[in-house]
Amino acid sequence: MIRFENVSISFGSFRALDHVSLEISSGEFVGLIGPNGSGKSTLIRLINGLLLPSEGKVIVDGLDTAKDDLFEIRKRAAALFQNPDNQIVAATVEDEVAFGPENLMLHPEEIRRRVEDALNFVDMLHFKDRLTANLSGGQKQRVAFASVIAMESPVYLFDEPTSLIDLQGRKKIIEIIGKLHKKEKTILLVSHFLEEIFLAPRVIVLHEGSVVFDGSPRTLLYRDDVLKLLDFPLPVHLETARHFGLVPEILDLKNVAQALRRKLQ
Amino acid sequence: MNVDVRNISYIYLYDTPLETLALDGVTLSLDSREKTAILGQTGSGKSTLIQHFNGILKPSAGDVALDGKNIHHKSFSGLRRKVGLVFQFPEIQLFEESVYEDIAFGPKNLGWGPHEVREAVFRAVALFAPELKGKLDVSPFSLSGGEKRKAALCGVLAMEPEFLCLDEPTAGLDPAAKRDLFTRLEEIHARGVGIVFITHDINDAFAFARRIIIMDHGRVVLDMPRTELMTNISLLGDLGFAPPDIWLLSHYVSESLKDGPFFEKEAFFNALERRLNQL
Repeated sequence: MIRFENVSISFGSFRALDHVSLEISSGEFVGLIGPNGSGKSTLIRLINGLLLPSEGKVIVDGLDTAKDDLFEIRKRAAALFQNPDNQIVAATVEDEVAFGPENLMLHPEEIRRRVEDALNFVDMLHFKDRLTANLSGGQKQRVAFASVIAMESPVYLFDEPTSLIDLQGRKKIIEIIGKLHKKEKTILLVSHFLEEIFLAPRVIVLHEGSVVFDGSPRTLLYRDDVLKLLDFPLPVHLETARHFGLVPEILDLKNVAQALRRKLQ
Repeated sequence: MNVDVRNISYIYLYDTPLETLALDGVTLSLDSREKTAILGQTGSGKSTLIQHFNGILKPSAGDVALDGKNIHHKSFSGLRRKVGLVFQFPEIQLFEESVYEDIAFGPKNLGWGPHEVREAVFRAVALFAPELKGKLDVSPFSLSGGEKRKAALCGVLAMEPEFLCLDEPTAGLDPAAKRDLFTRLEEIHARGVGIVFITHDINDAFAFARRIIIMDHGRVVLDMPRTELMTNISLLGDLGFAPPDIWLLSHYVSESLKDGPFFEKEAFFNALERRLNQL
């Protein structure tokens, strides 16, 4: 679905990505992590054509971002960024979610259906007539999620969608991403919360513009070299899993706790 | 130094249809020897409260005193600078041509002489952000996100406050930058500066603060030392907060472990190892 062929991109003398090759298949859920400045946001922006590679090719669903119609590419890969305040444009929740589908020139009936489905998906249908300005940060981000979900694209790109919202809001957002994954959407999630990244079946770690790890979270947990490059403190449940050699299927707090309990029996 | 707020209320947009009671009779006393975390949902009044500590907001009712002196009394207005306030995303307020000028902005506004200003800037940088030493001449906009935040913080520290109040200081920072920021705040505190910070993250509150305050609908609904809250953890649940992750995890296995729950990772891991050795 997404293919990077030996992609490099520079901003002045700064090389943001350096010969990156990778392939993400249809229906995959990939977590992307790296320190600030490692190239995560650049990678996302290359997929939907906000940036073009200096060298190499980015192919999305068979389309070359440097040659083919960007409108077609963005129909296939909808992106959502960090700050909901920067991406909400309409006064009411309903108008906000309708904005994208309207730009696709869909039939009004179809737009209405998509708006309702998308708001339902993020559990915000009861907020349909509310003013976007009066929502909390977490609610705004869920509306922003509904806006991209209403595009009904096969690929979703999420660039740190939880970094500015509170803990409860974050949990809801992660639930929504899990639901999209179940619907066999292709998902690329950038986050610097390890606990979120470790929920993806495949994790890519970027460091100084290069891919330094590409594999399962259960493998990453024991890769000291990569974790050292990341230099992020592990959340306590992941550190516990690592220290006591636990490898539950899903590396969240609950599953780690269960694995630990079994080990103690 | 003490910050005392006595029965303060604050109303936004008074006498309009949008009138909101943001603070509803808050009384508390903070000591600069403390590290305090303020938790609460969006709209609970946390930010409004800390903006009263240095007089940016004037309470609709009640009063605020520093070391017993009302900060809204004319003759004591000079006291306000002793409480440094760092807004959320302080880096968006950087605007000068160089990092140096940005950090110097506050002290200059206090009317300090050029020599004093220079000293203050270098002191703040040496203490809080030594990595910025070589970057004082560059534009603040060329700094990384974490560096910008530190530059903005240095601007407040350069005014040499005795109290530092921070509104979600780690929002948007990556975990390494966050750990670094807390380490530096710890150093500032060791030099006698009181720290109050707003956070959404119960893990951060327990890891860094020794006193925990929870706000809800403009009121203080919980205010106790961390140690006391540890023995009354169900209070958190009553207020809609999950306990820290370390507690949740150790609580889940405490029966099989025959120990815990814990609040410190080392103690938890030691208990686990002891138990596993027995098995």
